[in-house]
Amino acid sequence: MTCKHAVENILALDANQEPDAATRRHLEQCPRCREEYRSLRHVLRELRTPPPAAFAGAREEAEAAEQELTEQVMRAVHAHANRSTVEPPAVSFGGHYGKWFASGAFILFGMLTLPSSEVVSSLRAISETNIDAALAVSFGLIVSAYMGLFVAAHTEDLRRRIRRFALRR
Amino acid sequence: MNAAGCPRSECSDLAVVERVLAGDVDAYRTIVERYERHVFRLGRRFHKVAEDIQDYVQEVFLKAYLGLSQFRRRGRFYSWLMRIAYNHGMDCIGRRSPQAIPEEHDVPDPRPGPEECALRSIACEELRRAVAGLPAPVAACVDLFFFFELTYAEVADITGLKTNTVKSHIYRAKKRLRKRLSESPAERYHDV
Repeated sequence: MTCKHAVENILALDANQEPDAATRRHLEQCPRCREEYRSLRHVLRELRTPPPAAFAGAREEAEAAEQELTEQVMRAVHAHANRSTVEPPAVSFGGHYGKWFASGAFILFGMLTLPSSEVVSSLRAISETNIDAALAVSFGLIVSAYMGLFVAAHTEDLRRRIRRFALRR
Repeated sequence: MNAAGCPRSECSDLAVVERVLAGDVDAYRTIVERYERHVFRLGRRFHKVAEDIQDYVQEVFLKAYLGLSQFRRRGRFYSWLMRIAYNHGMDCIGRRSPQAIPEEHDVPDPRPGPEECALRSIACEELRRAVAGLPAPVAACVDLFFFFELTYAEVADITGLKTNTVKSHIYRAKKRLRKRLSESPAERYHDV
């Protein structure tokens, strides 16, 4: 392997990736390339070491600011964690459920009006098979899919409501 | 020992995530302490005011906490967190171009010695030059690779570029960096 190839391989290395066997052998024999490799690693390591999260110059101030930031973050996390364990976010019937009820009503409306529509009537006239049975099966599938999606999306909330209902009784 | 109940270096992100998901909210502190600097640093690409960056950090960690159950165990937690941070930052600035590689020296770093400062300064300057005038996603891919320890695939995932495109841009940036460093006096500090 030539020095040119060795340097190209070194420059192509990914973060924390070691050179392949052929490049390593070359580095063992070539002090110049070895030095190149060490230099680049050193610079990359230096660049990747983040300075303390502070704007102040003094070490103590920087560490104190960093500590304060950690506390600030943890306070926010705890506040959120407490909120979600003590008082789970309520799902309102008027808000979130409202969208589901609106789409359910839309589906229901379609199911009620479709059998008496002109399209289905003309299909009924030309078709020899029982089209109403096919429609009933399709509607059954749509209702099942809707119910399945509804339960999957609200499992936690439904469980909580059932638990509350059972406790009250 | 840390909040997750194990030595910090030995406690994997996944183990901490499992504990948090099991209801141990305090274990999340380990995640915050581990990646706070990284998120803060990324926040500087999107905000200039210290308070805004602090709010950004808080929002990112809260967002990650709320979406923790959606974290797929196959990937690296760090890259998942950085994706949240990057997307949140882009949302904050209304999908305008983030500030690619800001002046690191605006924030004096009390940690390293003068040699490391000089080296970091030269490297940052060269990378800034390398991405100057490039479209935002390309500049972001150089930024994410060099400063945030993300792999080509992870950078591609975050920026939406192809992995080969990311590779070629980073290759070119590394080439420039290598050339510049070989000309600089900081070269003599490569004593690792």
